[in-house]
Amino acid sequence: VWSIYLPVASCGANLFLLLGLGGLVGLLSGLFGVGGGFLLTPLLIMIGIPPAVAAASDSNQIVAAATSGTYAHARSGNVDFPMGLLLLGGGVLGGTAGVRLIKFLLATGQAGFVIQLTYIVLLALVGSYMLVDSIRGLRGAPVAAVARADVELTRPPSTSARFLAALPFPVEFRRSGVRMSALVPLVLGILVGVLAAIMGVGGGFIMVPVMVYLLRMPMHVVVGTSLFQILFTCCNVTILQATMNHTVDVLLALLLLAGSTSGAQLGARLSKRLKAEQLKVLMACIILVTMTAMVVGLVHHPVALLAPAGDH
Amino acid sequence: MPSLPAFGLLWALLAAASSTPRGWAPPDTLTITPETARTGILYGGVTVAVSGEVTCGQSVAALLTGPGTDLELRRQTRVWGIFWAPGSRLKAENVPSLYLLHSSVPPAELAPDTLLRELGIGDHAACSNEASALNDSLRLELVRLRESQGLFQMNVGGLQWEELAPGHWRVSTTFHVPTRAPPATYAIQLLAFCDGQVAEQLAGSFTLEQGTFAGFLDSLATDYGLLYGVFAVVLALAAGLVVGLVFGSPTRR
Repeated sequence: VWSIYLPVASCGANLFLLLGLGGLVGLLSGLFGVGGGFLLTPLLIMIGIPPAVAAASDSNQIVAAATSGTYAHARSGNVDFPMGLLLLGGGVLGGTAGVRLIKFLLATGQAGFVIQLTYIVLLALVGSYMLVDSIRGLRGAPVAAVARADVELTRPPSTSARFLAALPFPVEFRRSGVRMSALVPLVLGILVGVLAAIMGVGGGFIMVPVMVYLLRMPMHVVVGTSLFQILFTCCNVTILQATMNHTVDVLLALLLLAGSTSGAQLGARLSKRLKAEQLKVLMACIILVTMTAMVVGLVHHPVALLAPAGDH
Repeated sequence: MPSLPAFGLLWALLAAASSTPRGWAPPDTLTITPETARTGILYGGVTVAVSGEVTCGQSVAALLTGPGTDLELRRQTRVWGIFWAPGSRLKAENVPSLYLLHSSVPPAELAPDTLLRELGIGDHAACSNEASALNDSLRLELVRLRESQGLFQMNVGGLQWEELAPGHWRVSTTFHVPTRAPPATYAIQLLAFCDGQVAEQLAGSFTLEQGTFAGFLDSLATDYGLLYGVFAVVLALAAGLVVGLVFGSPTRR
């Protein structure tokens, strides 16, 4: 009953389960102000969607989610286009490399394993960081939250800042009010592009802290520019995944979008009534539980000692 | 000209024939409902009801099998002593795309092993590899894999009997064809065993067709990947703009 057939994934799934998963991730997205892409793919894998299809379709869903955000930020003048284009250049290179990597992994039967392993590492890092940060916040210690990072920093330049300043091809980014080598956003874009292809994430949860802490960009420009880069990187990844790996399920992406849109609206309203640090502890716990479930899935003796050679 | 006793005998035979239950037919056909189904977008698998009439014993097996295909597989091996990951490659030949068996008694009790192999009943039906290419333990792992995918099931039970007349039964069962079963024509058999031999064998088929929209999306994604990718992106861009107009700016990624 209420089952929906996903033609590219070649499997069925409950309509309300998919809408619910999208809604849950959208709710978290609205509550915490971070993207849910990194949580959605593992949840899809857990309900039986092939990992390669889950990651590729999540990229497709992110295109839709990032479109409206980019449009709104661009109208408000919050997009640093030169910076965004450099990030995008890197994203296209990284995304192309990542899709080729997935193609190779699909051929060797390792795509599912690598996707899950990458998620475990990343969820462990993000979840632990959020948990420690929010507990420190609850105790009243200085919080390293992204939202506070646009406060003017007056400390002397760190080693990493001196290294970045010494790189060639310096460019003035007026909208962001920073001057740095064009190589920095290019390399950052490559990293995020690879992650977008392998994990089906937008990469905002990596991009935003790096732009704030490492590149010293103002927060409002960071969000708009990050969304701009994510939008086009995910467009590129979606087209490449569809062309090379045939793993994009449009129907799945649209259902997830429908759920996440509604969830995000609800989350945004709820977030105004709840305490931020408590919410962060909850979010960290959800991430760590998801990570633990994935670890158990990989460590637990499989149902059969044979697996299909392709993940899809 | 026939004699009077001969007329009497003929009349008695006709009278005996007319006393056979009405509607009873010779046990040579299977009733399959539905005979065809389509994989639409709201397709969640299909339940196929099968019934046929038998006259011999209570050892009956109903079998639904899909066309055979060769499968590329990998052995699951330990990585770094912790994780399970796909390892060396092997090939399973002529694996039925779907195998559903309902039997009144455990398959091994239906008939001798050689006959069951010949009929394609039991674990060895999972593939047609020579024993040297895919040994028994790996064959069992293949069965487990296919069972976990819902594509290989052997159930003792699930058959219903209705006695039509002394010595005549209508046997019926239902098969659930899962969503992972590919569009194809599936063979259905009802076999009645007596003294370890096949006494009756009724056969029919069920056809699963690719639905128009699902088939269109599948063939577009497979045969025209670039066009499909562009279509997916344009659709997502349009959906994103609509969402933006209706709800305003969403959260950041």
